[in-house]
Amino acid sequence: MDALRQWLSPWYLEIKFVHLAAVMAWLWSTSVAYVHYLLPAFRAWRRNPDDEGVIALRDWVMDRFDRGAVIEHIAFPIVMISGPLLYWVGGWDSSATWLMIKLLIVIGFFLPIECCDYHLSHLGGNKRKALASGGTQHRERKLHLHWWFLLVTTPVIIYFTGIVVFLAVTKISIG
Amino acid sequence: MDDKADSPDAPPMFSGTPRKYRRIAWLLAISTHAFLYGGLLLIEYVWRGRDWLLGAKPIVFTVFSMLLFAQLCHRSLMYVDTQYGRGSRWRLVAHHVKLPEER
Repeated sequence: MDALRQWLSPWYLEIKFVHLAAVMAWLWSTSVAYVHYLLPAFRAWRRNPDDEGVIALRDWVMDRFDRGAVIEHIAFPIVMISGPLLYWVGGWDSSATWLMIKLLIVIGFFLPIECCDYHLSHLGGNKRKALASGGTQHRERKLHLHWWFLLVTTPVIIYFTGIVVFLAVTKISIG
Repeated sequence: MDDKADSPDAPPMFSGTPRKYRRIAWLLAISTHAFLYGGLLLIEYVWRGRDWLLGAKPIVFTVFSMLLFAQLCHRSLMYVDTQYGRGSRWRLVAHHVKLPEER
C-alpha cells in the first residue's frame, strides 16, 4: 500500500483537479433546473392542486429533472473516490479539524441524502416506473415523497455545502 | 365542493403543513448540530485527548449555528412550499403545448 501511495503522490494535484471538477458538477448541475423549472412547476401545483394542465407540466418537469440528475449521480461517486484518495495520498490525518468537520458533513449528511436521491430519481422511487407499475395514484404518492425530500434537503444542502466549500478552500485553523 | 377530493380517483393531497415545517426545521437543526458536535467531540476529545470543544466558544458557536439554521430551514420550507403569500407574482397562462416524451 505504501508503494501505491508513493506512486500516486506526484499526482496529488491531478487527483485534486478531478475531485474539484466532480464537486462542481455535483453541486451545480441541477441548480438551474431546480430553481427555474422544477420549483415554478411545483409551486404552481401547490397553489392549483387540481389543475390538470399544471399537473401535466409538473409531471413532465419532474421526469426531465430525474433524468438530468444523472450528471450529479455520476459526479458523486467520483467525489467519494477521489476524496479519500486525496486524504490518503496527501498524508492528511485527524489533526486537521477543518477536514474532520468536512468529512462529518459529507458522510453524515450528503451521503445519505444522495443515496435517497438515487432511489427517488432512478430506482424504486422513479415516477415513470411508478406509473408503469402502479398507475397514477402510485405515481402521485412517489411524487409527493420526492417533493418532501426536496423540501427537507434544500436547506441542508445549501447551508452545509457552503460550510464544506469554505472549510476546503480556507482550511481554517480550528481548536 | 369536496366531491372531487373525496372521489377514489382523486389524487392524494400533499401532507405538508406550516406546523410540520416548524417541527421539521427544529428537528433538522438539533439533529445536524448534535451529530456534528458529538462526532467532533468523539474525534477530538475521546480519540485525540484534546478538550477545546468543551470550552464556551465552540458551544456558543454551535448553538448560534443551530438557531440560524433552524430559522433558515423554516423559511426555506415555507417559501419553497408556497406557504407565504398568495403567489401574486405569478399567473397561470393556458397554452396548447406538446411535451416531448421518450418512446
